[in-house]
Order: sequence, then structure tokens, then C-alpha cells
Amino acid sequence: MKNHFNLKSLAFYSIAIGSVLLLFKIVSTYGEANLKAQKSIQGRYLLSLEQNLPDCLEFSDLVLDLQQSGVYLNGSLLLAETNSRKTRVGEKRPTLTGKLNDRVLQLNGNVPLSAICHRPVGSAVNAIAISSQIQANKLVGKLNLGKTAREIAFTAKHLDSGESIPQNH
Amino acid sequence: MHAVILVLIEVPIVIALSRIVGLGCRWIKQPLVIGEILAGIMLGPSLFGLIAPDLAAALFPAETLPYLNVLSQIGLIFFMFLIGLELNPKYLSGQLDIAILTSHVSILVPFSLGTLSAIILYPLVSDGSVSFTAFALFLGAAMSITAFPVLARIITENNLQRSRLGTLALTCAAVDDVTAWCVLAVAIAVAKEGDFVKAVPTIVEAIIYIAFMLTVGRWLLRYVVKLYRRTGRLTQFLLAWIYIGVVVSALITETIGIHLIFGAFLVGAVMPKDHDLVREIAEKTEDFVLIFLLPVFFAYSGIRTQIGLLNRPELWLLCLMVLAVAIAGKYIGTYVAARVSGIDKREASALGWLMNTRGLTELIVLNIGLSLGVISPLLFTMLVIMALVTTFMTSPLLEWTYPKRLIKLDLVEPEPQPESSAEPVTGVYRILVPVANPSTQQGLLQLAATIAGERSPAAVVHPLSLIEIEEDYAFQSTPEGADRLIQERYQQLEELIQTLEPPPIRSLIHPIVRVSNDVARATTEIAALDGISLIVVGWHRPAFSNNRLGGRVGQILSLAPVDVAVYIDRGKQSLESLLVPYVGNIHDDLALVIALRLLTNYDTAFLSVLQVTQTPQAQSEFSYELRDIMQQLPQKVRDRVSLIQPKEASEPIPAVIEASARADLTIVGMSRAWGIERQTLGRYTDELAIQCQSSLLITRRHSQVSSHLDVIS
Repeated sequence: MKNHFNLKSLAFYSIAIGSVLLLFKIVSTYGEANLKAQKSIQGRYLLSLEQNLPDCLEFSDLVLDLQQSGVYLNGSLLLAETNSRKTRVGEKRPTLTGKLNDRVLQLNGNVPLSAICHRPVGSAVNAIAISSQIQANKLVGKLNLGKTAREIAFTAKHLDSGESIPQNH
Repeated sequence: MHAVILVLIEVPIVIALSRIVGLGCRWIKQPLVIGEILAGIMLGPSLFGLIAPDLAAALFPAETLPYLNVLSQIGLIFFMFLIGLELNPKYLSGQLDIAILTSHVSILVPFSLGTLSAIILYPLVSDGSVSFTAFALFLGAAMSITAFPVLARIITENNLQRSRLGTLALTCAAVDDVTAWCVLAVAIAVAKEGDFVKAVPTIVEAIIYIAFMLTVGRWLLRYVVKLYRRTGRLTQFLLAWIYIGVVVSALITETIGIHLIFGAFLVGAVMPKDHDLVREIAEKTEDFVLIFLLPVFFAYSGIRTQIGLLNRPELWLLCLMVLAVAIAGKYIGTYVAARVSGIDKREASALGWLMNTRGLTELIVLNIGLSLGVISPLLFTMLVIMALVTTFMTSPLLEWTYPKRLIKLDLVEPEPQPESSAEPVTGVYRILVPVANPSTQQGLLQLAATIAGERSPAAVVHPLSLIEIEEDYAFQSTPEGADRLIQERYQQLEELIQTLEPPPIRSLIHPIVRVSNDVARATTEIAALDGISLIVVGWHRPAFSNNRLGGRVGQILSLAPVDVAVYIDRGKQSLESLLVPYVGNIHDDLALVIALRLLTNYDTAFLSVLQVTQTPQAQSEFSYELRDIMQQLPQKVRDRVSLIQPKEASEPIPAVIEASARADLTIVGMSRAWGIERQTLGRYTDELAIQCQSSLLITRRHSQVSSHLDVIS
């Protein structure tokens, strides 16, 4: 062990470790000051739609389940009671994908009408586009369903983990 | 269904799948850990959830996840204890100067690159709940990992533990492991507290606890060793106290604010390395942990891995960037440091690939990061892919940069040889004898030694004993455990050699012991690399198969690029009377030449050549080459060869069986005439093998027969 910590290697380690620590300090200072990650919006949101979905005979409460990895979003739009009964992991993959930019989120995907309506007319799979803004703890935006240009406005309240969904039926 | 029942249904599925995929990986010469990680991913949303979402949701509902988490955490605690237990200061003995330099640079470079890549990744894949410092620190730590346990298995499997490269890589990985765990502990403390300053008390407490374990903990464990030595065995009472110690230590580190695994690792690491005690603890602990609990950890981790999250080309590009940073950081860091330390290019490159093995350790780190929320599910998936790729590429890249034949030349210390007689480099007649069980193969080795003969100017017999290691992390597959098995096997072979007669012949025997999981492939590789002239392999009638020359013997016959002889021992001690039935094919020529070699070696032996004809008109004359050889034989050898004819109209096989009653050893070439030729469907008929009344040697020729007759030249 006599040679392991001679002056030369000690100097080398000091310089090497010192420069890496210095680099880390510079990078972390720069990052903390200049790099801003997106606000965390992950979680479940209860959607209040202003009007019923087209081709749906019964008004349904919907839950938007959002998974967030930075600016990248994945989500599922499900009937509120399905969401409370079913569990999140291991079930169907998220059907919506999108991005979050400056508190504005865009989500797109295909959702079967039966997944978001108790009494659907037909069994169409609809292209859904959601665009919304984050306002405090709420999402405010609109939902486009199918090829119709019809937009349905909504507000969505963030549900705390474990919070039960109020039942309208 | 009750969650406990569901968990009990899940666990067998998890264990079975991880074993099946693990076997698949073994088959393609990859570490078992790759299979286990893949099996976990397959059970999650990336495959099972994709192809059968309803079934996946029914089988792995969220309410069972906490149970799986508890099982996987217990598994992880005891696995980390085993890793600590395995971390022997012995690994730090070789080339410590180079190892410390190389391992530190191999951490500093990827750590720096990881930190820099955080500038790109943080705004994209992290959210505001994580501070940049914690994110960058964690990413740097994740990039710097080298998996000591997986690396140790790769090194053992490639028989590198005695090579310069192997010892250096092990020392580097051991230093790396300890350093990376320290960096990770700091990263966790910072992630939990938010910034460096707030994390300082946690770091100080962790240092105090490490110091406590190195002093008081070690003192207590020495007492355990004393107790063990007094009783001579590891009692359940003593083991119970050790397990309590592991769990309590894990709880202490969790309370300090680092992680459960560090406490468990520390107990293993400070445990005095009394070999017998360590082996007994490892053997008693590892089976349940490795078979039952660890696959649950892989499944739990796999369920959290969602490859589907990489659903945009830009995300795959980011994933490629992560991969490139991880590989380049480790490789460049290791390569440059090794070159500066005076290691040659090829070895430095091989070391760079070896240090890239991240495997299981990376997965442990990533799961901690995901649980703490430092890394997002997307980054977790990218880093799992990185861990898989870096582990997967190690073995092929190692073979590419540093083929086995070159590594062989770099052995740090020569393998133990029974008697170190100087062997001529060229012109050596070498017989390779695969020996599965040294206690039952005395006859086989005696025959090989007799064929080699003490009269030959340079004949060597290599009994080849291969040690199969099935488990990736089991104690016996650590370099230290494997070394012990190798030494034991050398000892057994040495005892076998001492039974050979006459005593001078024992000096011809030079055993080879290797670790290998594919006996046939290893035999043929060694045969090709070591310039073997003849493989003599023993054969026992398989109990449950009618594929007479199938299995390993069949594989050696198919693969070996040298002459092969298969020996069926009927327990005849003497080799005075030899019989060679001769039809006239090339394999018969080999049979005859081996018989002539035996005649040349032993003046009292006699050879009868039974000239069998398959049709009345045909003549089974000796080939030109063989006639030439016969003419070169000394008269005193030729006088002991007699040609005999079978009775008229007699079938070849019954004729040989009848003649074999008067012989000690019948040597036949592989031929349809004897019913011992490979048929189109890969089955063998074996009438002669079963009914022959003497011992039987079946020959399969590959090269010139004259190479076997150096004794007469």
C-alpha cells in the first residue's frame, strides 16, 4: 500500500475530483437559475362538461387520468365510476398523448365512445383532442370529439389521491 | 379475489417466466440477469399489458402492488447484504494503483457527462417538484454505475478471474461499487431534502453510521465469527441474530435518510471474511432470495417500466443520447485512465466494455429514483433500456476486442499443474479427455494415458474437467467461490491420476479445469485452441433415452474439429488383446492407427484385424495411406498384428460381437456396418455398443491418421 497515496496521485485525485465538483457546481447553479421544469400536473381530474357528448344518450362524468414526464403527457379519459373501480397500473395503456407547454396542455388520441359514455349510439372510436390551460388547481379548456367541429368546453378539478368521485347517478 | 391470493398467483408466474427467459439468455451466452429484467418488463404494460390489457389488469391489479413492493424490498435488503458479503478485500489486492485511478476516472467522466446531459433532459422530462441539483446528481450517479455482481459473473464465466484483465476489472468494479453507493447516498439525501446544504446533516449522520459499523459493528461481527468457530456450524440461532442485524441496520440507514439497502450492504461489507462462515451464510440465504424474492423485484420494476411511453421519434433520440452518454462516459473514462496507467490498447478497451456492465445495480438505483420521484416514468424507462443494452453488449464486445485465445496468454499466475515438466511447444501429441466425474472415470483416463504412452517423445493427456455454474449470483459462482471449486476439482483429478499405472505415465497427465456452462462447446473450443490430436470421451448408456450417442457425446462428435474416440468401458483392466474390425472407411483407418499406437507403446499387446466384407465380392483392403504406415512399422510391431477372416456368410455385427469375446478392447470406426453412424434423423442405432463383449472404442476421424503415429517416427 505504500505507493497508493503518494504526492503525485494525491495531486491528481485532488485536481480530478475538484474539477468535477467545480463543474457540478457551475452546472447546478446554471440549472437552478435558468432551467425551469414544467409544473407538476400529474394526477386525476374530474371533468365537468358544459354539454353532453354527441352520440351519447346519458350525461356522464368523466375522469382524465394524467401521467406526466416533464413536458410529455399521457392520459386516459374514462367514465368516472370505471376509473374509481378500476386501478391505474396494469390496466389499459393510456389512450391520449400530448405535451405541456407553458401551462397549456394538448392531448390527442382515439377513445371508443363506450369508454366514455354509459349509453352510446353506435360503437365508434372517436378521435379526441383536448386543449386546456392550467388555472390554479384546475384545468379549463375544450374537448373536440370525432370529426365534428363541435367543441365542448369543460373545467376539470384535480382529485387528491384517495379522494372519491362524487356520484351523480 | 383477496389481494394475498392474487399475490400468491402472481409469484409463481413471475418466478417461472424469469427462469424461462433466463434460460433463453443463457442459451445465447448472456447473463441470467438480462433474462430476469426482460421477464419483468414482459409482465408489465410494455408487453403483457399491451397484448392482453384486461388479463394483465386482472392478474396484476394495483392493490397487489404494495405486497409485491414489500416482497421486493425484503429481497433487495437481503440481496444487498449478500453483495456486501461478497465484497472481499481480497479483490482489492491486485494492481490497486491502476484500479483506483481507473475506477475513479471511470466514475468521474460519466458523472460529469451525466450532469451535463441533465441540462438537456431536465426541462424536457422532469417536473417542477424536483430540484435541478437533485436531478443532475441522480443522473450523474445513474450513469456512473458498474454492477459488481454481474461483472463478477461475466468474469467467472469467461474464466478471466486469474487473468490480468479479470483481476483488474474486479478491483475496479469493487472500488466503483463502493464509490457509486456513496454518491448515490448523497444523491438520495439531496433529493429528499431539496438541496445540498439541507442534506449535510444526513450526509454527516451517514458518515458517523459507517464509522460506527466499521468499528463497533465489525467488533460485534468478529464475536459472531468466534461463536461460529466454537460451534463449527452456523446455527439457526446465530443466523437469526445476523438477519436481525441486517434488518436493524437497514432501518437505521432509512431513518437517517439514505436508503434501506445501504444498511444491509454495510452489514455484509463489514462482516469479517471468514470463508466458511461467509459461504454458509450465503448458501443459507441466497436460494430463497435469488429464486423467490429477486424475481419479484424484477417484476415490480418491470411493471413500472413502460416502453410505450417512448411514443415519439424525439423521445427515442433522447433515449439514444442517454445510451451514448452512458456508454461513452464509462468507456472513455476507463480507457483513458487505463492507458495512462500503462495498460495496452486491447486490454484497456476490454476493460472499458467490462466496466459498462450495469445490470441489476442500475435497476436498484433507478427504482429508488422513481420511488423518490427524482426521475419521471419516461426517464426511468430510458435508463432501464440503457441498463439492459449496456449489460447485453458486454459479453460480445469483450469477445470482439479481446478474444479468449489472447486472454489465455495473459494469465497472472499459471494454473496449478501436478508436475511442472517442460512441454515442447510444437509437435506435442495431445489427448483431451473430458472427465465429468473424476471418481468414476479411472478406466477412461487409463486408456487415454495408455494411448499416449510413455514412449512417445512428447505426449500429453489433458483430463478436462468443466465446472458448470448455473446461478448468476450464487456464492459458488463468485470468482472466489469458483476458484475454490476449481482447486477442489484439481485435487480430485490429482487423486485420480495417482491411481494410473504404470507410475511413470502419471507425469504425462496435465489436467485442465475450467468454468463453463456448455460442456460440448467448451471441449471443442479447447480442442481447437490447444492443438489437440485426439479427444477421448467416455459414454454411459442414458437411462431415459434411446439416443445412444446423443447428448454431450453426440455434440462433441458433431462439433469437434479433431479426431474423436468414444469409450464404452466394460471394466477390463488389461489391454493385451486388441480387436479392430475393418471395413475400409476412413474412420476404420483411425481405429487401426490408434490400435497400432497401442501396440507400439506396449510390447505385450496383440492386435487382431477382422477383415469384414459387406458383400461377398468386396474386399476390405487397407487404404494406400495405411499400407504405407504398416510398412514403416518396426518388424516387432508388425509381428503382433494378425489378420483374421470371419466365417463365411456371417453378418458383420455378429462376427465382431463373437470376436470381441476374446478381446480386451475392440476399436471400431464409426460406420453403418457397425450400426453406429449418425442417421438422417439424428438417431443412432447401437447394437454393437450394447452387445460388444469387450470394452469398445468408437473412432471418428477428422484429420490425417499419420498424426497419431509419432511414436514410430
